[in-house]
Amino acid sequence: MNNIRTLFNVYRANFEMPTPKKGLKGSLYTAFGFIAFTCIMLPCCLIVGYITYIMSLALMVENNTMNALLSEVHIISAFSMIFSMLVVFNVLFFSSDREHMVTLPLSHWQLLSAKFWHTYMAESIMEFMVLFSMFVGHFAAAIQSFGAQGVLGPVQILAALIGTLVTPLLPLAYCTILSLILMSVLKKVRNIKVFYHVSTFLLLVFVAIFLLSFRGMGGVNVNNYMDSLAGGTNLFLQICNILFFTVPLLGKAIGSGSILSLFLYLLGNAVIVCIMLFLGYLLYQEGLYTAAALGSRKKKVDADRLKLDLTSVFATYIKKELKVLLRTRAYASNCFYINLLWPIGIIVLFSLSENNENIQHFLDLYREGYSRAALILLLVIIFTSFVASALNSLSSTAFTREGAHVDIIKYIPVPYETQMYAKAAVALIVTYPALILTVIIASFYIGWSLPWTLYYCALALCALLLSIVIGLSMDSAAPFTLWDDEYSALRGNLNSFFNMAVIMVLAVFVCGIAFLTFELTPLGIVPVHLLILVLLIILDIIAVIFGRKIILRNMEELY
Amino acid sequence: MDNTSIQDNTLIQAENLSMIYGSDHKAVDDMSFSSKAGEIVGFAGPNGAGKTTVIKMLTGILRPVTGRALIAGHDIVKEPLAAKQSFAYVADNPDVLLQLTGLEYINFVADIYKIPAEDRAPRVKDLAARFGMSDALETPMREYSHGMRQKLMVIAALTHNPPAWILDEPMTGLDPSAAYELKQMMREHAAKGNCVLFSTHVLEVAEKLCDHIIIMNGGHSLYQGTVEDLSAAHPGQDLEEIFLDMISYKKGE
Ligand SMILES: Nc1ncnc2c1ncn2[C@@H]1O[C@H](COP(=O)(O)OP(=O)(O)OP(=O)(O)O)[C@@H](O)[C@H]1O
Ligand SMILES: [Mg+2]
Repeated sequence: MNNIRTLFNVYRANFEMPTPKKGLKGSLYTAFGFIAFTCIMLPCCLIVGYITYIMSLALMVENNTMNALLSEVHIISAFSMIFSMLVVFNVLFFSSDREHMVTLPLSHWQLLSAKFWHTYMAESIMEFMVLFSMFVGHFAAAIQSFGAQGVLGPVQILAALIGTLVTPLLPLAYCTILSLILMSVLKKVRNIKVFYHVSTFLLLVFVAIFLLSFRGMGGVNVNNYMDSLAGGTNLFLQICNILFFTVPLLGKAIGSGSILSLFLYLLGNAVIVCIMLFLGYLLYQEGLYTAAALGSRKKKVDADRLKLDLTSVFATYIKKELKVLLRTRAYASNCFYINLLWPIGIIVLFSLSENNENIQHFLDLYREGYSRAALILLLVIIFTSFVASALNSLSSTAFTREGAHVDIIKYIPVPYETQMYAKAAVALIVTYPALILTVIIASFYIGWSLPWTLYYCALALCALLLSIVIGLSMDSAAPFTLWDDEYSALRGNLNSFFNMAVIMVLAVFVCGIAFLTFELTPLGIVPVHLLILVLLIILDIIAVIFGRKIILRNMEELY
Repeated sequence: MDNTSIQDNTLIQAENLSMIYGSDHKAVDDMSFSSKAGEIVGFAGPNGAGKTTVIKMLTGILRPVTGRALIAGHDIVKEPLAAKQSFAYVADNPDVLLQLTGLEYINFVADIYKIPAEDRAPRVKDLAARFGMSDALETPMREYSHGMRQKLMVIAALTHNPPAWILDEPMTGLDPSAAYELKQMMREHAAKGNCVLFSTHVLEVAEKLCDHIIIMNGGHSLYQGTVEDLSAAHPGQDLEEIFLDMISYKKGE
């Protein structure tokens, strides 16, 4: 066991990004950390808690105490599986420390165990907070429905606390088990791509189950979902109750204060972890051998037909960045395909809310020209544009992604300015089309006229530009280049997290100005729209002028 | 443009270079040397002596705390682009942009140095053939062996064939035939009136190849001059013995 602990500590020390601790940069980082916490973590938790509260309250009226909480914990577990799959896969089989660790005189299940616990600690912080908020939301609804007596017993509270920490174990253990099994079953395929499609496959399976739970209900929307939850006929809930079989036990412990259920819950998790370790004992070594022998098919090279044309420096730099982005799985999914979230998300949102009275009512008000509805829509769009531009962390990891070879920026004879513009261009080329698509889809559903569609495209461009400049400035100030695998380049990198926080503050600031001008001045809603666009353009100009200088200086001082 | 350097054909010139890592770790202290057209200069010294640090200051990766570095007469800090156009650099770690295929990497570098397609094709074919890499050009570099990566870095650097070559431990990991080819190329390159500066731990290579060697330890230069002069000053000792004497002498101080 001591070996596992030692390894775990080494992984942890290695994972942490060195941050400036002293001086102005140090205080800035502390401030960013605080902002990130208050602007990302807290709002997320509040929203999740509130949703749980509303859903639980609605179901409790129909005498169904636990299904709301259960279905939400299941959704979190499903997401956790989908997102952890590739992470676990990389951590187990493809991180660059693999070759050093394998040679240590440790058994493979110990290696696996250290990696597993480290990943669990590193990946689950956000999940802990979200789960905690869900439990709080649930308790709030329960107290309101049934009174504090009997709802807040010691076992219930203990169960919620334990559940917060232990629930993320199961999905992660499943991912590990799945990786181990896949690696040995697919050994013959010897092609790395197959492995990477697993998480897409998982996503599709869960989405399919989720959609199937609406069958026979005449439409995919929130009301139907709630009805099927209340009736206990929800297929997603039923399947997940079996798949994440410990969650209903936890539900029982939280709902009725059963110590036995709590005990069974812990036992269930322990059993799965033991199975995982046993499988690791059986399969991990073999899997590592397979992973180390993967490769693509060798092509025959015809020396006379090599493509050797001259491309401009700017274009070749962009091409290089795009190739690296698309060919590195971690970047492809977290920086590239993640942009599809917005166009797809908006379709899902509008089709789910097709029968939702509140949203339909709101849209009717908007279409009738009720200006407060227009204001709310404007605020939502401003906020989403900012978040969408920051979420893919393309600009906030632009330098970090260079990795150990960040030197290349310095010794090639390309002006820093050109390299900076190329990096910015990549972020723009990848993100903006997705934003435009989102606006067009929204305009289709909401019924914007062409000028409004163009206006929102321009708004998104301004927000994106601002976010790119800020991301590049922050990442160039202290790039985190000593990572072991590309996932830690993204996740171990505090810059992208802090960048998100700064962007959110900015979004709140711009939204605040829009709101206050509308409420406190006689300006109508159209002038407010124009005012915001002008404000963003001015901010962009300032950001470009100063950001350019800052980034160039940072690039010069890089090291 | 520094006219004096052009006149006496100095291609690489280091003047009083010092480097401090962190707040007080002096890795290189007041190094000066120069390397003229037609010369091969070898850098020797124990691990941590500061060789890579000096090379990084020459190539613009590190900014010297004091002193300056000139490549083909251009100050690397003040005229970085002109200076960078004039050298090829092979880093001590060849793991660069491993997602690209060898050919894509070569094309990237050649585009950066603006090598026209008609010059590029014959050079790449020739270099790849000499290093036995022709069949690996369209394979992603992450599937290369260490030595193959090293060879590819050399091929890419030499495709743009600038006056100065700066190579940090270029022989590490090369098989005997590749090492032979590289040494041969270094000689050819110098003979055409260019200069080559490289660091190495293999003293025999330095002895056979270099017109000029620089031995450094603890950030200081211990010896600069020809191998013959060094041997003459220490009769009866081979280069290895001289080297060991030099660095342990420093240690005992
Ligand atoms: N990034 C860095 N941060 C702090 N100190 C460094 C850094 N890089 C090198 N050093 C220190 O500078 C000194 C010289 O290192 P350098 O890499 O130049 O040595 P070297 O002569 O190239 O050694 P080797 O033969 O092992 O390659 C060493 O003491 C080293 O610890
Ligand atoms: Mg070195």
